[in-house]
Amino acid sequence: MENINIEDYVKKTLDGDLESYRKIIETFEPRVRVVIASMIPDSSLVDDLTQEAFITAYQRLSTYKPDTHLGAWLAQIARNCAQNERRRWYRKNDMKERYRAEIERTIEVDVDKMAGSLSGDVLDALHQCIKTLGEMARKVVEGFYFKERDVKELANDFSLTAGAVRVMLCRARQAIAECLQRKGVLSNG
Amino acid sequence: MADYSFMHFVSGYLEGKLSREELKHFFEMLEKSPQNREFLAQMAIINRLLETSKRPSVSSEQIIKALPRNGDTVEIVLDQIRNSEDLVVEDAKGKVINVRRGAFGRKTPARRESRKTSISTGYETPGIIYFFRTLTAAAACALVAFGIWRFSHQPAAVPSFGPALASIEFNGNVTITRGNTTIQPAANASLYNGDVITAADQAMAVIRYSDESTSIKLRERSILKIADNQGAKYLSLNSGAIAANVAHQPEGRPMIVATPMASATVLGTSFNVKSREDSTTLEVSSGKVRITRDADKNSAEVTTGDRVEVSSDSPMSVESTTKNPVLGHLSAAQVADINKTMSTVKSWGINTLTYNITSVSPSALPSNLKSAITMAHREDVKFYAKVDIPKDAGAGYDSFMKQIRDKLSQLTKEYDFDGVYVTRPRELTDDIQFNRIMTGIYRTVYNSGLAIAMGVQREVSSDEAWAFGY
Repeated sequence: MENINIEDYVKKTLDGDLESYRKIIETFEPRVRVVIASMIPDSSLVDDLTQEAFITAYQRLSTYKPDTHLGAWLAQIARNCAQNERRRWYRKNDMKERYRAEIERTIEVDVDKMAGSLSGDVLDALHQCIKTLGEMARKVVEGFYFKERDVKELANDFSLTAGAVRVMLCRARQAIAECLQRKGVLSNG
Repeated sequence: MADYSFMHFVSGYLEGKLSREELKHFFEMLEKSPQNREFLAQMAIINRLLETSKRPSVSSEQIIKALPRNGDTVEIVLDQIRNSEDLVVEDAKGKVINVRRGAFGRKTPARRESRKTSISTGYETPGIIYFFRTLTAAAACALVAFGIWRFSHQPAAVPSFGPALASIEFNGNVTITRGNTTIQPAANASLYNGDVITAADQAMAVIRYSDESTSIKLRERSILKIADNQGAKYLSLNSGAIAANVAHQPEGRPMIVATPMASATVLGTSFNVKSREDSTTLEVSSGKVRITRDADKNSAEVTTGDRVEVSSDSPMSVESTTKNPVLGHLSAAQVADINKTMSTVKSWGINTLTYNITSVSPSALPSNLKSAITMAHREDVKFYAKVDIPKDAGAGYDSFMKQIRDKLSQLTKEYDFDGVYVTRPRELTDDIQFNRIMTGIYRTVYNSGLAIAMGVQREVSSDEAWAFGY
């Protein structure tokens, strides 16, 4: 059903109907953003790149082959945008934070492989996986990511050492990754 | 399974807390082990997904605005003309004469390269690059001719104002003073360095910066000057109130909000500032703001949930604003008789009012709802749009969300609501469904320009209701 509508939207967009392109953006924005976010070391660039990916897709929409899955086509454009931006980021950080750039380069292949494997409603699955964490781990993850508490504050909140909070965060991320793999939205590496 | 020491490094790395020496050591650990690299890649991806999951979706409206225009060159030129604003200029005798503005009034496409130098988290509008790429020689000629025509018809009183900083949407009587001229802006008009925006009684305006998601809501009876200080945002609130949602600002270039009494330094946060003749009040919904009293340079750091009042003769003490709201849900009759209602509200100590918009079409809202909101604000009472999630929201999710999205995106632009108050029926026990609805509502409100606290869902009553906003 989605495919029928989406293909219609593509045709109408090519005929100049921007409202149809708006529907395409609204449908695929989470997927495009997730692909870009997973590949970019600097999260502050994600919104800009998501916008850029949709602008690029709009310009190249005539090259899209009908009925070949627009989502996958957009995800490829998103990956290209992210790779280009990452190269710029490496160049910039080679001068300032050499080791950080080097570290990102060493994991680039693995990151790209895993980012390429993301499928389905990743953000929804992510939230479900957070709920499966143990109570303490869930509170630490929510505090760190959603309430903007830093590690020291969390350590204070839960009467732990900062090191213990860091390890707890790491284990929680690991548990989330395994949960996403079980749900089939992330590859096993 | 990664060992304890490696996990410590991974978390420290993802936090950006490792020293240069630690980074070097970590790099060596990665070089030696493909398992370590794979583990870090996986952790980095989860970290990035978690980071992005808390952010609102990128606005389709922003993307549509930024799309390149490949159309007919004549249409492009006509579009420039259509989007330019009428000026209201007073001549020497005070007689008002209407003229056209001297620069292209098209909405502020930002230069792509300029955003690359910043670390802003918001949106960009790189359309100008694509716009110029697509111009043909004929269009260039037409624009040059058009520019010459515009220049020759431009009055000497119109100042030069440099690149656009932001755009403005508004309701009610809002004017922009640019140099010696007073402009009645068109919808989505551009704002330039030094512009002074005045919102009259019961008016409101939303100012959106071009290169990022920073938005400033200017409330009624307010005068705000917008300026650029070597790349840093500078706002001067002469009087009135603003509610701001500020994206992370570049290092060394914080946003400054100045009032006649004090200055606030902002790195990226949501907050309210109210400037009265004898005091300035700052309330922070999320993040951290440093406020400094101009007279004695005394300063205070105000963090999430805190407020401070700065006056000339009292100590600056930071108080918590997280006290439970005392709610008053208004009926249409109470809105109609708002004068009487407000005296009850004050005597009962109610600090937050709501009006239920769930099942009312925008055209059927009480005619003086805007006045009611204004009166509440003048009494320091917050006013929320109330949304009741229906019991059968699970089954009718799509139609409910469409209806509520349409309504909220219209109402938040027209009415100066402080936020949205959402009630959850006991029958809706599915947390995933509920979270989907809340995310949809949150995104709609965020995208419509209401400056709301990012990611904050303030629990206000047992497990049944949530509110976000100020």
